[in-house]
Amino acid sequence: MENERADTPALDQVADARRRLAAHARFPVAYWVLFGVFLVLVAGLPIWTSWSDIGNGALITWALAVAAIASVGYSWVRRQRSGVQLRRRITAYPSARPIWLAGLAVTAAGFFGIDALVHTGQRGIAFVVLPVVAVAVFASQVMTRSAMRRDIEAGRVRP
Amino acid sequence: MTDEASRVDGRDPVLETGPRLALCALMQGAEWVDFATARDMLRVSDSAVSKHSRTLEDAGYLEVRKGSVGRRARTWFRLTPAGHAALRGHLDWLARLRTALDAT
Repeated sequence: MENERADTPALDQVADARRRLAAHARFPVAYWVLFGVFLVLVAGLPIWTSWSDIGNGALITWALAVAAIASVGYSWVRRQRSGVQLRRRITAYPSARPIWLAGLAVTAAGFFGIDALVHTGQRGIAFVVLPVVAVAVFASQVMTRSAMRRDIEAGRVRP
Repeated sequence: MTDEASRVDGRDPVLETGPRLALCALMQGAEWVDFATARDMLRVSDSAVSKHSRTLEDAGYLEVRKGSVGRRARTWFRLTPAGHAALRGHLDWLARLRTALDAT
């Protein structure tokens, strides 16, 4: 069985192995759907807390805690079961890092922007801005993941 | 060419047998890869992974960790810093070789 690939050039074997490994960096659609919902929940926090009936924070705190625990649990199970533990540090992926940083900046700007709008009494505009911010952050996360896959395929992952 | 002379230009004879190069390339992109996953990804037999991983471990290129998930025993592999350096050197040498061959 070992000799099946004997006539395959060594560099092609390497590229093939990397392609197979890169497939492990792909998240299922269900993950992205849940992530999108979580994103809208978090980005809209200033809006949700401005409503007096849920403004006491207990409901939001619980929702966030459940989402965070579910996320950590999913990540742990995936790492244990998949047979591949990818590097967690974003600095290990040179082309994904700038996209991740840009996404972080968009997230912070979006969150504080929505917060500022709510505090100046412009909740209607904040509602319009919320999906824009959520889509931008979502896109940055998808792009970061794609860049990680490309880095793995190209053998650019740093130890 | 002796092993010592080979290593000077990046070529590493340890990585030239069986699926060792592909196994190292697989682990270069990950932190840990388990035995069964490596076997399936490289499409080789259990004995091939076992034999070549031992050689790589003896060469100091591979770290092996034994553990379990639930009741199933698992063996995990990781490339050591020496393994990373050897793989990088060997791949550079192969790339240079391909360039030289393309030029002729």
